[in-house]
Amino acid sequence: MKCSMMFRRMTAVAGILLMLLTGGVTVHAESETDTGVPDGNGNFLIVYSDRYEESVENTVETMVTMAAAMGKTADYGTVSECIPVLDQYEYVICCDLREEEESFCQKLMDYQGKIMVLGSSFMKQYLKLYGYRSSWYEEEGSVTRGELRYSFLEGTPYSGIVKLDGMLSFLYTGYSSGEILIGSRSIPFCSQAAEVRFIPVTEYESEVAKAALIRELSEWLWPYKDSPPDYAQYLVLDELYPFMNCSELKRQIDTIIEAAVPFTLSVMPVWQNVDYPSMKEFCQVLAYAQNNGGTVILHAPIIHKTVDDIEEIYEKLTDMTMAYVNQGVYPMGIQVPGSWLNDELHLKVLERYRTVFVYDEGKETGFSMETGTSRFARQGHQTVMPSIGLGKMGETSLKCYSSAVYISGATNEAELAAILDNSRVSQAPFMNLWDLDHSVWINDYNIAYTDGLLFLNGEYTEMVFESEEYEEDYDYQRRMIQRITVNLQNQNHFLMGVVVVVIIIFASFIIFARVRNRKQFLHKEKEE
Amino acid sequence: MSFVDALSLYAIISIWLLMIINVILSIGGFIYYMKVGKTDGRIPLKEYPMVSILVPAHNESLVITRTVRALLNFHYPKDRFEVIVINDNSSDDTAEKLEEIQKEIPEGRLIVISTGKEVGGTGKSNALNIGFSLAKGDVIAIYDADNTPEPEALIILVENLMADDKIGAVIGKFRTRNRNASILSRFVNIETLAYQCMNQAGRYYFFKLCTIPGTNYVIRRSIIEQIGGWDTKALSEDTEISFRLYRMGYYIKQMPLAVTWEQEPHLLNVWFRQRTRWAKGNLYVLMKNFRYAFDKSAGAMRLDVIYYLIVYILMLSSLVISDIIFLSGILGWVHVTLGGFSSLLWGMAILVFVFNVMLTLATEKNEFSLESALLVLLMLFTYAKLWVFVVLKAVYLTITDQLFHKEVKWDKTVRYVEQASVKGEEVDQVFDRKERRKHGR
Repeated sequence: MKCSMMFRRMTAVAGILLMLLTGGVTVHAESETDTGVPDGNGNFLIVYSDRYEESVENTVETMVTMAAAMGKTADYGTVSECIPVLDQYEYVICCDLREEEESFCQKLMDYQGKIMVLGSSFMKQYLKLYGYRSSWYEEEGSVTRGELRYSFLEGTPYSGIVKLDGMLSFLYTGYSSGEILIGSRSIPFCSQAAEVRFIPVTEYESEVAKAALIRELSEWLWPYKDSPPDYAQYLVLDELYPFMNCSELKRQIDTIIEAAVPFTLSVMPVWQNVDYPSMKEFCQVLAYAQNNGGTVILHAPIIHKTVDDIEEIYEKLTDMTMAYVNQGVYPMGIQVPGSWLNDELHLKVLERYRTVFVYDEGKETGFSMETGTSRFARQGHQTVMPSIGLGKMGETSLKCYSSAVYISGATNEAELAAILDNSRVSQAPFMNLWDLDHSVWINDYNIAYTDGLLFLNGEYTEMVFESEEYEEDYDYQRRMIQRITVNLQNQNHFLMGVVVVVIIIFASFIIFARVRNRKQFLHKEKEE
Repeated sequence: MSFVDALSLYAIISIWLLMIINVILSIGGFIYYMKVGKTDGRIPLKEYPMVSILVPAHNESLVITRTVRALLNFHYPKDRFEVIVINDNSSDDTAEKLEEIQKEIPEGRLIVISTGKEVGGTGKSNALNIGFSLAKGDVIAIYDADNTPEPEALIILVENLMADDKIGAVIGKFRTRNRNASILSRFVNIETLAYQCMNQAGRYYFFKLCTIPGTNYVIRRSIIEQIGGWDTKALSEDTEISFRLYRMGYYIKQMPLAVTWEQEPHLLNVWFRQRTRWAKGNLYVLMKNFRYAFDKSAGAMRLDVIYYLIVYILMLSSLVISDIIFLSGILGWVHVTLGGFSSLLWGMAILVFVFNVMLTLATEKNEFSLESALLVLLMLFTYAKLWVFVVLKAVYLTITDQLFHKEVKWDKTVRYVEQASVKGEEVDQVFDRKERRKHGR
């Protein structure tokens, strides 16, 4: 026993030494100090006005984060910040610029790379400088809204309302994609004028507009004449708790296996009660899934920003991961909220993971225009962003970035069947995470999956599923309160229902009492 | 689950449990109010029993005149009731004030008992026992010295008491006469209506349980004799006697149409001392009757003991815990990592609280307004928090009293001359107007 422990420790130490010597972290940690201005190292540059609006910030964030899922790094800055570094980029996007300084326009005229312009105002200024005659294009400055129609894959186009800063269309265009309906007129969503790729939309709030922008961005960034490669989508059974109903989980997994759709299981982190039979049972189901094509990723724990001791976080993450590894379940990546991509501490934590799934937690992500670049993208992860679900069941129609379709662990049978049906016919391919290489580094452990082989601390490990016995009648000391803690969120939904009913009852009682009081009052007044 | 998570879970479950109990009681109370509101509350009797109205008064010269006049003005057969004021070791001119009224009322319906240091001045229970020894009535009515009951209050209470032999006592409703004196008195007014009246109505409607509020109630003489008078050790003699009534198999009825108006504290220190006394009294009763929570033979009374336990243990601890966690969270000392633990839970609790109180206010005239809704919200974050300090102090005092064998000391609520004495006059005028209307004048 002691020998075995000693051997493990020695292996762990050797593993760490090996990693340190070979720079074993598989992602590229950012070593340079951020200056807050673009430094010319990104794949493309986004230029926005010195006096930008909030919508510009949203558009920039969309492009920056989605570019990371395409494996590209976006740098961004104001006009004045970008002028000195413009020539260092092959691709430049002018995002909702207005009447800009002559110096910038002149710089752009001399620029040899590819330009994309979002918004009509600046496009007109640029065209005039370029020598475009007004007879070559149509314009109407008062137009502010239009209906976007865009086909992503074969089939009916998706539509949505978009904001414009005037209408601008070219009589001669080399490239055209999508359309924007303005009254009876139709102009392209994306077109080519001179050397410039042009999109007249200035706000990308709607999902369709966002998806169309990303698609156009991906096409434009592709340096060759053919289309860029297809990225896959991943089906993720999300927020799986170790103490959930395992037979129900097994049923869901069997349904997915039967549907022959590759899938990933996102497990919630645990570091307490890991020796409970229910944890064992849960891990048995996960191992079963793992041996039937499913991959496992670890859902990010809640880390409060006030916790600035990264060693403490590493330690916790180590415990959380080992809780699964010890039971034959190997998390291949981590699932994090969007806010992790913009926070120093979290970015540091992410350096230990090659594969990162991002989910939208519906909160502010903390994206800052001051950063000048996406540090997350520069870390070089395999990034999977949440899918822009244009379809009924949340499936994506985009193949230009890696996307995840998240399904709640509480999804019922019928919903799951419908999602799987959609997945089977989806034109965006579903991919198995086992087809990629992964690496996870925890304090004294390195999990690497390379060329279809699993290595634990550099040692090849075979993944074999062996059914094990677990105590079925174990007394968890789980009373009503403990049951509630298992899923307080469900209790919240129940409470919300109760509150709505109570409020309706109280409101109707109040109305009744008020009417009655008034009647009694009037009655007495009459008597008097 | 961390220790903080466990505490948070405990706090949130406790608060929601209390909230649900209050919601249920409010619904019951509202239905009862509406039912009673259809009637005039009267159940005429062939023969009206003799009633002795006991009024303990210790240094009450500021309010006693108005109170006694209101009591003498009851619409009850004049020869069937007497008012006994126990001038309990007063050092002010209460005695002179009472003497003046006595001269105006020659029938001898106003009896004044003045006690000295030897027998008096030790509290309300003692004063009531002294008054009771001279009382002739088969029914005993109790009014505090600052009350202005409506003329119909007594007859409604007595008729309801006599309507059922199983009823041991009937309690009326009390309203705040000086509600506009300060923001504190406005809070007290809201609290009184929502948590002392509506809540009581709900408890009565569902379980036939009520707690005697200390004033504006009638009780059978035989019961007082049987229990040997009021417990002089109890600071909340009202709660104490309620429990004794339950144990005897009687029930207590609430009759919201029997209304009395009373002066509530408008200053924080006065309020704090009064509430500390109440809380201390309730803790004494709780300790005395704790064993009944586990006694099946105690019947419905068990519910009341449990209710008090919930209020004084669950509510107090959950409020203290949630406040500590909230403050520590702001300071970054602790973090709750409970799944689903969100501000939504607190938001919903606040919403339910506001609606709950507004429902009560809607049943009263001139109480339901946007201003009241804002006050309720403000009350939650100010007045309600003070309750925690009140109970904590009461717990501390109870413990020190037990440890050092201190004698129970009655802390009298300080009265004041209402600025708008006119307001009080207005109340009297309303009664007069009602009276004139009734007699067709």
